[in-house]
Amino acid sequence: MVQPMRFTADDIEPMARGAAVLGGGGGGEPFLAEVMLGEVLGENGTIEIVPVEELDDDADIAPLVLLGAPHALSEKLLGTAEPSILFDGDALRGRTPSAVIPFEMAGMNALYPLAAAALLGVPCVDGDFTGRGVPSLDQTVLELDDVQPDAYYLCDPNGRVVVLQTSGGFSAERLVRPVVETMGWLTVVSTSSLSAAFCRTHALRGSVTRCLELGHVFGGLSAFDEPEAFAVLRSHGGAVLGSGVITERLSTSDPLGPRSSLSIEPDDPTLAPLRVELRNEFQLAVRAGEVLASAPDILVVADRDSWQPLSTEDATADRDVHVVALPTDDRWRTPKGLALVGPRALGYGLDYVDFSVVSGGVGR
Amino acid sequence: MNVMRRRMPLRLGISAAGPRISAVVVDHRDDIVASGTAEGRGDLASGGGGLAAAVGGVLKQVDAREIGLSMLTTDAFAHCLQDYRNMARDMARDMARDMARDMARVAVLRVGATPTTAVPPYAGWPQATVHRLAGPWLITGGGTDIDGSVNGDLDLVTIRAFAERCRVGVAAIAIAGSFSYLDSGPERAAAAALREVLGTEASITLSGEIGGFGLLERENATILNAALSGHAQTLIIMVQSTLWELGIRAELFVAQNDGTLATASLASALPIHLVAGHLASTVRGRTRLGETEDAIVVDSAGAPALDGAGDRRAPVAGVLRHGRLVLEPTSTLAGVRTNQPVPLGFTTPAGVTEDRLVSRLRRRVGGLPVLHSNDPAPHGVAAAVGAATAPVSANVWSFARVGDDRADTLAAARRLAIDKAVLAGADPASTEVRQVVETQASYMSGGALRSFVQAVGPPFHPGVGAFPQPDRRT
Repeated sequence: MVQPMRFTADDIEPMARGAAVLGGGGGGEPFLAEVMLGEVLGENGTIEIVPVEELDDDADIAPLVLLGAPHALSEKLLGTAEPSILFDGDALRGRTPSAVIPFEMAGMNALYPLAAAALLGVPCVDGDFTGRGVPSLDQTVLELDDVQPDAYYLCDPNGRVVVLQTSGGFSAERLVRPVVETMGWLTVVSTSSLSAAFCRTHALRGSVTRCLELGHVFGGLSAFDEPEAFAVLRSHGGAVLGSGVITERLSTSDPLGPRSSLSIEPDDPTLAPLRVELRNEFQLAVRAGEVLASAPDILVVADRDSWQPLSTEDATADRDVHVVALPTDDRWRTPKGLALVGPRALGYGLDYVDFSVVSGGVGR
Repeated sequence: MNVMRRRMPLRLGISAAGPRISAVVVDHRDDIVASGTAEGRGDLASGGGGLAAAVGGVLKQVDAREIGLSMLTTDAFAHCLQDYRNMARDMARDMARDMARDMARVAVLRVGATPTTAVPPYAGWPQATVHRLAGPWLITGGGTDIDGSVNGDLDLVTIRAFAERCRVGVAAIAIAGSFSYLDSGPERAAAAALREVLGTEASITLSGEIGGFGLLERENATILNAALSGHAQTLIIMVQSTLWELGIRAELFVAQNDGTLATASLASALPIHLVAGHLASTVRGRTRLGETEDAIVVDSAGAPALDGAGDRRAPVAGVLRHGRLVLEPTSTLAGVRTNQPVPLGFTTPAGVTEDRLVSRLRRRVGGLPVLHSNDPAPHGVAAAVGAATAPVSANVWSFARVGDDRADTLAAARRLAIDKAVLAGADPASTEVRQVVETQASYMSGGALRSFVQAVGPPFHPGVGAFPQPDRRT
């Protein structure tokens, strides 16, 4: 048996950076969850990170995700009581889980479950159900596998709890979202107990490790000059689609909600500008009418100097940026995966384009 | 151009960068009619003599009674922030000695709508700065919620008990309420409860006065403001009394981080708005002298390094584009993340050279020409001109939820911005909204909007007849 990995205070910064990378502009900026994790861990605290394969068969696994809006989080910050309210209340699970598993390995949701694991004194599973930032609770690999937990538990910062029993393939998102809004746009969400076998069958594996690795990769990029940094990204399966200054951000709305379009002028004025389409995440990169990359691959817009990934809200005019594509999990690239989270599902009316086979897309 | 605009009187601009003081007088065409510089001992607050010498110099060229407005721009508060960083650096060495010393500390009262306990005050700060600066803190309920309603009652008993803990060793108190830009009532009620115990003279900063989105970042800025406030009061009163002794009766304004002005009384309560004022004035003044609206202005003499690199002065630079100062929307000050906009180029990384700084800025803003702050006039004159010719402004932040009437919300924010600008010293006759920035809030259906509104107007002056006019003009 492999020695279990122990997450320490030194891992917080790379984890937060990796979470911002996997968020693809979404998932909520990790900063507050990062500060929370620092407070919870102190100088010497550690969290055990357990691979899915090594979970005990009778383990009781609890997914955790913060649902709501960054705007609410920015003023409500976070509490410490929600995890224990969710798990210890008689009406709910009635016991502390054997481990927690992140629901969405992106943004604040990559870090919050670690903080909750430390508060509960349990390990965190090295896996999740999305592998990237997603706009809705229905866009998970559970939906891909047509499985649903029996119930969702929602706890707001004031300790109010709502239980939603799911059945018959009805959208969890449609059930949960109005409750999140009523609770003031910030809730901690878990589900009825998941077994180790369930997680082994359905969860994406190695998500915490991948997030940390990407955090280290992006954290090291500013030490290289640009061609070297682009090569490092290529060696991790990524590609730099373009670099330049955001000259315009156009915001509109369509039936799916607010969306924006960034125009990024390259250093070389003879090249066509790069356009990035976003909703809550960066979803499409287009140059001169050619789609260079699309969701569900991960699009990162990073600061030109520091390589710090920007949230969609921070990608404003005058920012000097790189646009990077990273491959998503293979399960999202299947026909069923693309039907759920591909460009058509996000309202773009075009097919998925694999950035690694687009000639114009490989980092220059 | 507003033809109704009152003719500007002679304006005195004062730049105080370290011990070097420059003073200029500009006329209604913004032309320089007098200038002088002097080297003092120590900074302004110590009354080092440079101010009286520099202003005394210009008063040999212009009658003090003709000066209708005076404006100060200073890097003194950037020096204070640097001291906090040095505090952190020197900490290990000085630990034993400092433990014995009775430090003046900042206490924090956070008024949340919800428990915010996972991210307490001072979380994420450099450890040594916390050790030196942090006083007692309390997180309590009864704050403003996301819809602008107040969630529960303030726990006055606990707040009064907290006030008792602030009696000894606490120099100032920061109060940070959730969503205080929607309703600062809970912050004000909490301040009143503290003053019942500590007296009306207690030094208290409210986050609603600091402004901006994000409770933790706003609270951090509020704490830094509280820490700076004692020094700000002393410094500004010292400047006012020096000017008075020189026979200048004009109202004093102070330059803020975006280069606009606020009255001295407001500015001395909100020094966190002043930390980058000198750079902002330098950029505005130098571009005015160069008759351009697009340039990168480099101050080689620089500002105190804010990166913890000791007493070194790092080169700083700022950008004017299309006549506007380009701002960094959030800033890390003294190692602390805040929501305070400062000029792009103010917080430069450790060890950055002038050329590297310029190339970084050029990548962000394009290939603008580079101007140096001490050319053609001596160092400090550009900043003094920038302050003397700046308008007054005030900012408002607001939020329109799904279902709110967006036009109503925005109209209310616009009215509030104009009212605040007038309170900050703008002339009511010609104050107007200059900037509205609306941003969609992510992951909120239906187009919830955050907005930022800035109102701007020329500084109000009482006009002819309000103070004795010299005879020789007739």
